[in-house]
Amino acid sequence: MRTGAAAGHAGYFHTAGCFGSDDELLGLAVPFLTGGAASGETSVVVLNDRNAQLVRDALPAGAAVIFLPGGAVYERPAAAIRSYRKLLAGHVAAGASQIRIFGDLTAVTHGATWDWWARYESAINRAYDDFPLWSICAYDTRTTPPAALADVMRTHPWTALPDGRNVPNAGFTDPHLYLGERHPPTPDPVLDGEPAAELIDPTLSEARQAVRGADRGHLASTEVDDLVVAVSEAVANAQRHGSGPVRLRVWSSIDRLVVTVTDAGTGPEDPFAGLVPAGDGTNGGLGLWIAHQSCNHVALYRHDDGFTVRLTAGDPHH
Amino acid sequence: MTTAIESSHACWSYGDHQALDEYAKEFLRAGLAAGERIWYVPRPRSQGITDWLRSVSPRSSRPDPVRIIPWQDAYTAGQVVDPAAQIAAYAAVTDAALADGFSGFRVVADVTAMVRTPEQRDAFARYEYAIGRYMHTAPMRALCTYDRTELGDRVVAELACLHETSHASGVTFQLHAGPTEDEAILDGELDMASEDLLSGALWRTGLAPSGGEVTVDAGRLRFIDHRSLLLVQRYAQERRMTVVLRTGLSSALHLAELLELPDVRVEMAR
Repeated sequence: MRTGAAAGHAGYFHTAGCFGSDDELLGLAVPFLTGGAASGETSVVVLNDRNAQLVRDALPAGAAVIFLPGGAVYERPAAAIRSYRKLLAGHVAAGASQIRIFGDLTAVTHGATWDWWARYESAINRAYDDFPLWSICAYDTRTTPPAALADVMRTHPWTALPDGRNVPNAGFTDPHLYLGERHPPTPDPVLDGEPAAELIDPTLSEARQAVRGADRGHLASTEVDDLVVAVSEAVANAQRHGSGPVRLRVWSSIDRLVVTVTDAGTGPEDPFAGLVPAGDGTNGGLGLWIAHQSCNHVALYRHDDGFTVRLTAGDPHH
Repeated sequence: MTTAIESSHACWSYGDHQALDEYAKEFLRAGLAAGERIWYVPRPRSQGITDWLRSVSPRSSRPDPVRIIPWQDAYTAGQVVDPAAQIAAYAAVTDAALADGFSGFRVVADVTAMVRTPEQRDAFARYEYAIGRYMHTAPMRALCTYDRTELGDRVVAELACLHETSHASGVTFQLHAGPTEDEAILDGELDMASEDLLSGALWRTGLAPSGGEVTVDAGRLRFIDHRSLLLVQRYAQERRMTVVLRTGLSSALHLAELLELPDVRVEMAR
């Protein structure tokens, strides 16, 4: 039996909690968590260190609240979804009637990589909908850019207010529509320079070699290996599902390797592609998901010339 | 990367006879220099190597340092090879060479006639894999030559990928035998383009688990994609075994973790 605002709700009750002060943060977090703990519901906090400490100090002593480190969970959206689904499945298997999560994305996600986190916020409406989950995604209005806050309102069906009320977001957009829109990523200035390699209709082997060849030894070999996997998958997808020609370009800078794979098609039909696996791989459906698990940023975007996958290894926060 | 000359079991598919002859001479010359007994089974209507081999045959106190075996004496048209019998035959030849004072046995054989039908091909592919295991422990080396213009690229690729090395075969990987029945060696690159080939090759290895496991030494594997790992999983599941893939590729370990393969364990090679 679910309690609180999500009582009677089936699936995921996904709320945004915008706060402009520590008091507002605590006004959102403390009743939510203590209410869960008092009802015997699994209550979890996944916040940055500062805010986690603030909440910890404000909770009654001995409150049954689980604190998880936020940094590792929020490195990559597809990894976060995988990790959370395992966590949720574990609690449900253990008999949880509802799981409450109070979390925030680290501030760094609000910058150049926000586009894939916005897609994450939209996609989880479906990806977590088979669990009795109630979450408050906390956003600090003092540090979150207005454009990101606008996306927050479009990707969360509800807003949690510090006074305990939950109000529907008028701008909430069905994930199928939101994810299907054109969302150009933040331009990467590295792409203004000459690419280290440019190939038209490369074989998969040639594409991989172009990435290895552009590596100047600035990145860990594991990161380069993972990027090679992602590029191979992106080119394979373009060959199988896109429209020719397939154009591969690779840029190398002091702190990152960036690769774009462009074809003349319209991109994947599945708007959730990349964030969640489509099937078990028997009939494909895992390539973009693996690319999302193997890079520090993946941007997917349609444009007048077709569809591009942009893959970044190294530091994507330019 | 092992070169064909260094490898025990090499495949050469030819369209250009001159390039083949030059390479075969190099391979045989290395055997003569090493004091090995040489057999040469030429392709039909081939004379160049035969004449050369006769001219360079060493004057030796050991019997039969070089034998040239006419193609029609070596193979019966339409014959389907019996892998175990063929390996036993070459083992006897190798033992005899050692008994006669040679350091080993080396053969160049054109085996195009042995793989013309699907049935022949399947048996011969299993033999190619299995003889590789014998060559791990015995002083035998072989260069198998195939006429690509007659067989076509696909057929050549099916056979070439089961050798330690291959030339002009169009394959991107080699899946060949390790020293025991529960060990195989996987080199090269595996992706969507090699998926069908890998599938056929896996089922021809006849890997036999020990303690429920087989080990694939993938220390020189340069790339493997998720489809290929899923294929290995399917093979392991159907054969009711665990495949342990030892590789230096951190990406293979990452992929295996993501795919949560129940019957494939990727271990980082030191």
